[in-house]
Amino acid sequence: MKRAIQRPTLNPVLVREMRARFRGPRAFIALTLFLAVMTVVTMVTYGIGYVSSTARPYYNQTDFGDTVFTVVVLFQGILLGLMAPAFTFGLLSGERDRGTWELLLATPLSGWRIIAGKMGAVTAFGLLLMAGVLPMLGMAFVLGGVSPGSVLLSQIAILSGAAMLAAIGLGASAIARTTSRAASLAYLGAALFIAGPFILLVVVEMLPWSYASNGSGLEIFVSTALQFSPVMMLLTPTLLMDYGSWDQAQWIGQQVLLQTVITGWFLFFATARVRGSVPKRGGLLSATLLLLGMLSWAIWRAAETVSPF
Amino acid sequence: MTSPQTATADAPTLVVEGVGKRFGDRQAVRDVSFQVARGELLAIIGPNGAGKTTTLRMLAGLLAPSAGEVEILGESILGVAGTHGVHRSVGYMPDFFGVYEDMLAWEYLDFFARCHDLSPERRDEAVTQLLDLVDLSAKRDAQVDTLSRGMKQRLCLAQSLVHDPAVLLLDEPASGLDPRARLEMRELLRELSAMGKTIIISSHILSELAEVCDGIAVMERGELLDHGSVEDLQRRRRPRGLWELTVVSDRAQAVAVLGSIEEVDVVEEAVVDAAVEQLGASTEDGAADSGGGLLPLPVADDAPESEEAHATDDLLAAPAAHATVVLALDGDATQRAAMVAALVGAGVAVAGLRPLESGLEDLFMEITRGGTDA
Repeated sequence: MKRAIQRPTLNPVLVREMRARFRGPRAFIALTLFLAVMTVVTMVTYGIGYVSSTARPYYNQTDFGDTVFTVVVLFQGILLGLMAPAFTFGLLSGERDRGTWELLLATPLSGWRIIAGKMGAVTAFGLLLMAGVLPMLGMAFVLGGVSPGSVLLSQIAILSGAAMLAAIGLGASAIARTTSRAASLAYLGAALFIAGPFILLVVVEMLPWSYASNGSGLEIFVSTALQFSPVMMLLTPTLLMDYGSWDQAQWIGQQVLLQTVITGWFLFFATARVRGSVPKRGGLLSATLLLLGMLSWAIWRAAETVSPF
Repeated sequence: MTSPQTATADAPTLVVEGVGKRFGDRQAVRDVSFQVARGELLAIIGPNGAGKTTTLRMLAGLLAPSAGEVEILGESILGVAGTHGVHRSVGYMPDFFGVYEDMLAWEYLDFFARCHDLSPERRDEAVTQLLDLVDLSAKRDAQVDTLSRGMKQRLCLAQSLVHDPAVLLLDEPASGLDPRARLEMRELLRELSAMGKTIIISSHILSELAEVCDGIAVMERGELLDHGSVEDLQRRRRPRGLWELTVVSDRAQAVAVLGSIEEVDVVEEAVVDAAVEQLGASTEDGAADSGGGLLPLPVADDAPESEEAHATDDLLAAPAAHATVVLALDGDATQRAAMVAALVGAGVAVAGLRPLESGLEDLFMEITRGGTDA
């Protein structure tokens, strides 16, 4: 056979993952369950709001819209946050379990193309889930009180947080030898990122000198740590609704940037684990330095600007 | 197998020079060197933990060697490891291989063709050709999880060929296959070898390897103990050729005569009594069966004597019993003729003398020391 090689137009791993993900009932079931839960949440919220508005003649219609929007976004974020690691923790360890890992590594595919293909398929499915919620968010428009910018920012915030959790799952998958271990590691990592800053906050607040330490290094540290929590990404839209200030929009941008860097770091980490080649290690080092730089900037910002807490 | 001395003249496809691999404190592979020419099939054999799979994984570019050099088609694979260039020249089928069960057979091959950056036209062509080669054309649109193990194994072999590699590395390609599937795999390997592929196989099924491989490399404890063609190894391991002498007379006398000849060493005395064998075959209970050339045990005095036992005794007493003696013999036809003349001169009736070919199992047992390092 003569070899005829050309640059591919599509990442083969992406094509395979998309085929595998959408073939069979799993994707259909996941999408149906997700939308079913979101529909129930939306209907219950709407029902409660409707009853409240009819019971109180002076009930503000825009508050009704705000409430629907806030609750829908909150549940959308929580569900996606829970599902994101599950989408990724088996991506690499599953290949090892199946015995297809070495076959994949025996091809000229770079580690980055393997990771990008797998992450791309997960992102596509995540976007599909998010798109399914848009009609429910549309209800808030009908009821009023929600701007398109708020919706856009909320979806960017959720995507950023979910992507970070998915990347943590992928990192766990790159380390663990079996899928069950990868699952444990992924959710442990996710829990650390979600709950860690809050636990830290509680601990700090319990410290005897915390009341006297406003603006201290410790408070700045906790304030910065909180920015890493995807839960904050979910609460941010509600904060936006309450304040809607340019400062808050900047704060969201800062959070998205931080979480994107963390996502990138985990993707680099997974890539370096896939091939373990020197260039990828260099990339990992660069990403680590970038992450440290971003952290410094975040701490500086937290010290300089008004924290929402 | 190309010898190191003739390698440059024969332009070997694969050159492995002093390759080693260390995992922490453990030296998994140590100073392995061999060369394989185009179209040759080399079998790496050795006990579990001998370093066969580690060696193959290094050749496939999946593990970086701690020491040494590997060249494929004259280019070092270490230099191109970062860009994975080695994977364009090498097809690899691991020991523990898997398939994407949720794909169709053609999609599976198409996926790997995409991974090797083949153009859409070439992908279609390669998929059709390879399905035909591994006799899976009829299963083109079948879901992979519906295929038998043998079919999956052939499909996996096909994926290793999708980019038309010069070197094919197959780790235990016939393990877990039934006899028919093994036979088909063997035929396929012959076909690939005839197509000019350089094939390296790691396997435990020695009896089948001897029929297809051009050379063997014996590994143990991470070391390459010996390599070459089966004939080369036999010659090296047993410079004094083994011969089987058949006499129709007193075996003890023949052994005594052979013992007096300096160039001859008696390796093994075995007796095949044709008459007893014939009797054993004719008896219903097989009591007098010679059982692989051993003489039947003498019947105890107090044991009840059967008719067959009487007949056996009678035949043993007959002078026509055949005895074989395996001997190691130096020298050429002249020495052999002198030995036969000495036997005949001493009154030994020589019925035959033939060279003994030792099998791959014999060689393996002789070369290895029966240890692992894993």
